[in-house]
Amino acid sequence: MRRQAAQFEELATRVVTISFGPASKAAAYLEETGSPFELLIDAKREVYKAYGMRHSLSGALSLKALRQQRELVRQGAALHGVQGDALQLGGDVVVDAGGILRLVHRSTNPADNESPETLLRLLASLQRSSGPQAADRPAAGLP
Amino acid sequence: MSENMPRVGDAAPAFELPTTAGGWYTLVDALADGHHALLVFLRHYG
Repeated sequence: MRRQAAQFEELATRVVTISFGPASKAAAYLEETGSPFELLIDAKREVYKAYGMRHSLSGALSLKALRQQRELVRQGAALHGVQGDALQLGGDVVVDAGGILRLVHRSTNPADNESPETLLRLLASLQRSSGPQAADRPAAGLP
Repeated sequence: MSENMPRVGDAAPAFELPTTAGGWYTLVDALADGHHALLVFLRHYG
């Protein structure tokens, strides 16, 4: 998704990644992945819970996920072991400028992510519908 | 899946979290000036 960073920016979208892993490991993660996005630490996983991210043994240990992990190792990716809860799954969420959820993708296994193309299509649609007056609109969905 | 989980069309739960750069991220602030937000929840660093 880092390859599309400029496209997200063009679509007036601020991208952040959220982890519950230890902050001490964050620098190594950012360096290795080359992620251009801000990284937030949710050590207590309160935001994971608020957004309903799954916590699943069967999902975390799915055959598809294990195959993907094996492929990454084959390609030379470094593995750091599990940092934190191995059963916690992630996901992708799009919030529009008015504070309304427009996409909530809760991963069913570690290899299950929303495609960048789908996210860009949705954001382009939001951008078309928001128009130039979007900057003047209050964030109605948020307190 | 709990019935209480937020769905598409609901108001996004507001939150504030520390950043690895030493600052704070607030969803409300991120949506200022007509911006949308994409939140990518990672599984872990491994």
